[in-house]
Amino acid sequence: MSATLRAWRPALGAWDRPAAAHLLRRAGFGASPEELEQALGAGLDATLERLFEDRTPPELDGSIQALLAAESLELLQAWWMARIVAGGAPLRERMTLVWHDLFATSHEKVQDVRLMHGQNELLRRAGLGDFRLLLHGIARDPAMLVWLDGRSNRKGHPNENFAREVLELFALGPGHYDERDVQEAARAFSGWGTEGRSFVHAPEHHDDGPKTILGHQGRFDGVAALDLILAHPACARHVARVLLEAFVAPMPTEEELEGLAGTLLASDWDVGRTLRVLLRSELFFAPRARRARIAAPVECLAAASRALGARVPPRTLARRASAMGQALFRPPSVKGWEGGRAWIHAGHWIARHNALVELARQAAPSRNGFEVLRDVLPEEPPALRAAVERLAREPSSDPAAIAFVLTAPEFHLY
Amino acid sequence: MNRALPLTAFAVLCVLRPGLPGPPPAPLVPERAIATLMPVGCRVYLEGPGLEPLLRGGLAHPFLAAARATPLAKALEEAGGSLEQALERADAWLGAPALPLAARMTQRGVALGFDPEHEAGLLVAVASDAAAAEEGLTAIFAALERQHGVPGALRSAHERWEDAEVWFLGEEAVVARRGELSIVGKRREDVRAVLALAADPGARGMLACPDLQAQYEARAPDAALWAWLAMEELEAFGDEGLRALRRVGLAPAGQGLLGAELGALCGARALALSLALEAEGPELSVRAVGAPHVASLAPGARAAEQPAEVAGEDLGSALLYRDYARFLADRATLFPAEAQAAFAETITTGALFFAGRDLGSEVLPHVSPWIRLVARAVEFAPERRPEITLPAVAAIAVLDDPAEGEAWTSALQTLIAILGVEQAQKGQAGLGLYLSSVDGIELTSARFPAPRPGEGVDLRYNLEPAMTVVGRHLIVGTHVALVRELARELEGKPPLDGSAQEQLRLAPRALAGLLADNRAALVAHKMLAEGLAHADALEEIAGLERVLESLDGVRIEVRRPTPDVHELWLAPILAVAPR
Repeated sequence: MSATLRAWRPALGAWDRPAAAHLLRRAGFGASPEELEQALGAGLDATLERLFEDRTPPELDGSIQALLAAESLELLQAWWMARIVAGGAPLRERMTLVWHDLFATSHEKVQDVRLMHGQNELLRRAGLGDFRLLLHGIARDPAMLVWLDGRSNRKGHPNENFAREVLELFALGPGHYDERDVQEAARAFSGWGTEGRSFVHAPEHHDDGPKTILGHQGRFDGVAALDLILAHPACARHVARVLLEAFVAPMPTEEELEGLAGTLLASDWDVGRTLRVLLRSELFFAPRARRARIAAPVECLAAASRALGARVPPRTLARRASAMGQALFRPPSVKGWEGGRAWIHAGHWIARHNALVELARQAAPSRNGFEVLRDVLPEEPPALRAAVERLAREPSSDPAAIAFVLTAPEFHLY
Repeated sequence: MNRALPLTAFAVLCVLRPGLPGPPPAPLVPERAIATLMPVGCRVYLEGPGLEPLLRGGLAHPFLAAARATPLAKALEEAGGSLEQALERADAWLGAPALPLAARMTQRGVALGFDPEHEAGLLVAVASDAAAAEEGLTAIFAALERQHGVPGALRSAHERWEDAEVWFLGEEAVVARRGELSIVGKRREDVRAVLALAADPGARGMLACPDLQAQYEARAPDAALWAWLAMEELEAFGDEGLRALRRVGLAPAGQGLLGAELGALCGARALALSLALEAEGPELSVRAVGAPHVASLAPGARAAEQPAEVAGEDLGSALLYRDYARFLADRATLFPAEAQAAFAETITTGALFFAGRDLGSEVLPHVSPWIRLVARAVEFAPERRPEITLPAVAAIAVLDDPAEGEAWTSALQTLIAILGVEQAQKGQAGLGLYLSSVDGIELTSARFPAPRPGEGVDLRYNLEPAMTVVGRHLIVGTHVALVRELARELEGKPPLDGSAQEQLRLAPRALAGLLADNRAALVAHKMLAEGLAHADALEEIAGLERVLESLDGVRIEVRRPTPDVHELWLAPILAVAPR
């Protein structure tokens, strides 16, 4: 095991509010004040275990089943937002969003809420398990087949969209395949399509001829092609990069990539076991990992809502996230969301600012600026604390002080 | 009762010394209208001309007895205690039977005014005589003293204004009594204004407003409640929703959508409301005063037949007057120049569907402006039953000539074909077009391909649009099953002659059934859209179901009792709970 992934043994007092908040933020979507206190009392190991649990209320799960027939994307977005903010399954929802960004599929083209929901459930169900099963599942997912034109990939008329993206974006990354691999993989996937809302393999449309993929020769079908891609050494590194960028920091080092790819392979591609190592590691808790990236809109809204205990309707939160640049189930392209500084360009920042000021107004009757500062920025930067103290002297200061904390640049570093 | 009455306020009041008692005031003229005692600045005025029977009858009043038998009332009483218990509590608090006391205190009238500019309410009551008013106030003051633990604080008046005794209940209220007259207000100047009106036998008060006076004199004498809303002035204090509603009512486009009569009610300068409490249920009448309306769009402006009655199990039905032929013909005078391009586009698009015929001059004039709308639950084929079921809705109009039906059928077929092309471009299955003959009636319909087993049946499967012509009746509906039913019911029936009123009938119990069928979806929607907890959402929907189950029917009519008066009449019929 790489030294960077060595288990973190917090010195006395090192498992403090900032450390606990960092874990609950990155591995979930922030915490309520009570959850943060509970984590401090329970310790690192127990908190980590709690993150893997799924305590989502069954009636919340059932809510979308009753509404799928309404064909409303907005309600589907609201349902996922409700799951995220409910915090019943923090890590599972976090990974569902990570995989949604990787296997980015948009309702804009799919135009079928049930298919989008089906894919979301696949990501949730398989997201903490064997990555190989997840990749095989996503390749046969009806929403993905519509999104990347798998339905029109037929013998003699290959459509290369899915093959190209699985090599470039989903599993290997540029530099590990060539154009011929794309063409040959597309032939291997031919015949995979949909009938109604179900996956179907049509042998009459499958190109059964010999192919060469990533240097291997044979009469490969889609399953075999995926196995060849998974067997490529770049695949585990690619998945490791996704996990490191989501949980640690952008631009991981070679050593970190190698280390986590090794952990993934050693765990037989088990994402959950890999994350247990990563989230328990010195690397995860290192200073350079904390507040190391800009919060995505969903992260920002969920963390603020949970910390403030604001009861905002999930549909409203989902609409605000859309205005801030992250419409769930509608990533802008197959590459997912650009992220980083794009989250705070001028138009998105105005929407983000307005959403947080509104949250502050809703929370103000029961919270004050000091409490919110302690809960959302447990590091309590001295300059911010001084500013909140100044604001507290003003009459009716609570909404202004809370808004000030939520719109401070420090809060937007996740 | 004012539970928040601060003790400090009482302490201050206790040391205040009342003025010396003066001579008793001259009694009010017995037949004087209580509206003459209300200052004219009130934009909202509410009077209880027929409250006395309710107060005297108490729980035995026919309306209350019927209302208490409904499922809603039973559920509320089960949850919050019976009305008998509530009355017992009120009697115990007051130390006297509350309802008879209230009846005596308000025997000659009770009115409530509200001035939104100062957010100040004003209550004026005229008792049977001065002794009854004194007895009532004494009982109320004694109850307040007991409640707040300040015995004697209100035993005598804190001040005397001319011939009136005045008490101050903290900063919240001023109470005055002048003979048989009792006044409760938030602001001293309002209470003084009432006293000044009372002292002047010729004062007109709210009746100084000619619009109000006319409606006041025409009101039903037995109405339990009568109200006046100065809408034009209230608009400044209302929210954006109220302003938008008034804009819609005042605009010709709004009247085209809502109908001239309903539009007039929305845009009226003032509204006079009258509520009667009958044994079958309440009856509410809303009269519009100063209601601008487009005469050519009003019911009966064009002599026309009405669709014949149908007699199925309706969830709801309506008879509306929408003369879109006239609407288009008058567009140059009704709408500004910048709106004309949109009309030209509409007419051009219409020509595409109606084989080149002009919508305004060649299509719509041959269709009656009277339209009957019918909503019913329909039976779906098991494999096509949507998971969320909606009622089917159909519109029935009368054609000048049955041959006109061909143009409408062709328009529907063209529309479905165009929609099908759009769907195909998205790679989705569109509506398929079908022609069928049922009992000799030719029917055009469309439907989506059958859903695959196990893949869910979406909301869109509520839509199987259909159209047919039976005699001179044109029937267009959202579901073929309803259109087929209506075709059978209308076969051989001629259209109706004569004038009519716009009306709406609802079957609330059937609507409650529809709600129950879709309860899971409605609850889920409340959770996600409004952020309610599951239990709260469930309770809200159950409450709505109970409201609907408590009504046997709802009748709404839009009337024109005189050429200048527009009236909306609403009558829910109470249902008795199953034993």
